[in-house]
Amino acid sequence: MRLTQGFLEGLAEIMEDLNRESELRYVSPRVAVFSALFMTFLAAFTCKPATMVIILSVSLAVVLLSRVKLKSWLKVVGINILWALVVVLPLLVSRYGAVRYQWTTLNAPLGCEGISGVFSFIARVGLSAAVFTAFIFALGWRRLVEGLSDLGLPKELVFELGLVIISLPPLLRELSKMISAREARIVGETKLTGFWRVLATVAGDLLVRGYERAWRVEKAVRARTFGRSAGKSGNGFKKGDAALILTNIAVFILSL
Amino acid sequence: MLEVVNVYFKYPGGSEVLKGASFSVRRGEVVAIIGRNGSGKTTLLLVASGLLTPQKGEVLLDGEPLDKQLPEARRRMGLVFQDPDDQLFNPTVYDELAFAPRQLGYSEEDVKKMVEDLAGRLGLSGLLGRPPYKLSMGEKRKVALASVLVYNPELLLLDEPTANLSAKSVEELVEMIGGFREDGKAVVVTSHDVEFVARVADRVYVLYDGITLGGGAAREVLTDEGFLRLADAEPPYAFRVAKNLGLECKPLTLEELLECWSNTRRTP
Repeated sequence: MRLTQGFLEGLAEIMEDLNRESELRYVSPRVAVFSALFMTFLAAFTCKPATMVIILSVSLAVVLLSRVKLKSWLKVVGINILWALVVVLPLLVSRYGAVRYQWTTLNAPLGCEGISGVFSFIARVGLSAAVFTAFIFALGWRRLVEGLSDLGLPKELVFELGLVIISLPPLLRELSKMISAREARIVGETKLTGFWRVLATVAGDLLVRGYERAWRVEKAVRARTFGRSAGKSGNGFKKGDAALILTNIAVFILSL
Repeated sequence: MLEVVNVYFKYPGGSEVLKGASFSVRRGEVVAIIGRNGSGKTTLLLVASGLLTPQKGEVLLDGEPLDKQLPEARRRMGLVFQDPDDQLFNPTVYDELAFAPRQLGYSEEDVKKMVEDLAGRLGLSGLLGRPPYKLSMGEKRKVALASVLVYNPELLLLDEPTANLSAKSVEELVEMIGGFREDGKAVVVTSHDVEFVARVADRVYVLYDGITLGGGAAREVLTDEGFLRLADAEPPYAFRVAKNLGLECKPLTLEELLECWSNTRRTP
């Protein structure tokens, strides 16, 4: 239970950390969000080491220039790489290409194709996560939502996204409190299965509470909606935009 | 200004919450609706603000059906929810206060001026950059109230405004409501805090199990013990003390009790 609560608190903290003013002051949210999406796309599909190195350098530059907590960024990238590793492991025993080693107990062949496939996949996943999270960490949720809005995403969708982002930390904290309340009432010795059974009751409770809360928030939004859009005025072109656009073009040309 | 006439409301799949509830409020008047927990006070406010449509009965704003005037009529009404966490849905206090003015077409510069001006008056200036869910309950309530005051509505609907508030914050709220009355605003409060109602209300309605049992001048209703029992309430402390002392007056507040006491002593 402590582990679950620690995880929830940590997650809430990261979400709250992102709910702050943008550190990328000289770049407009529109260009920053576009760059994040564009470079993530390139990172996901490129096979060229030079492009990969440049995208990684851009990510590092964004992280360092915007004074993002390096540890938080590395943590997210690390979790993504770990996850990719779990997903991609079966590729090692691919039957395509020349077999270099035969794993006799499992009758599984290990070949160059499989190994290079694993490395390529992990590198692309890790790089995509690195460049995307670097921009998101530097921008913060608010600027991200603003950027999406400026890029022409429907206002309603942007508003919903904003609501979800704002609601996540309180939801995680509430979840943590619900678990504490249950733990407080376990007075005897309980096995791990018992703990899991108690934890499972949280899910139903959370659904009901979530629905009720959403119902009331919807009423609150409607109570202050007078029939016109609540959008902010668009953000103008900023000094750093030209540099970022040029970087995008350069990386694109290199990836060709 | 607002008239709720014999409304009936049932949530889908639930039992009937309102079974003939009515009240009215005029400009420059404070009306309180009291009732025990689960009597339908919150639902009545949601119906009165046009957020729920009653199955029977009608809601009139300046004599015209409210549903025909929506959503524009919302500009004239400000609903403050019982739980501020339900009401605050923007990333910062600034955005929360700017939400309504932005819809009204003000420039970002004017919005900033309006928000900073109101925040200064309510003592919220230091909180503008903070996320609402990080505030204390008293601060959240203030922000929730500010989020509707910023567009200067003519009618304020306050749901249990004293719940979880410190004594100091209640004092501030009483003063604020007095100010709204002076400004000519119509105010409706639901509460089961009789002491608070006694200090702010001009008229009081008693809601019992979704039915309005009756209403009248605050002094008449709040000193009718039998009537109040239906709302799970007791008369204000000042009245009970006066009664025990054998005074003939019907004070609702401590100030009135002291005045009544000194008048009695002066009388030979």
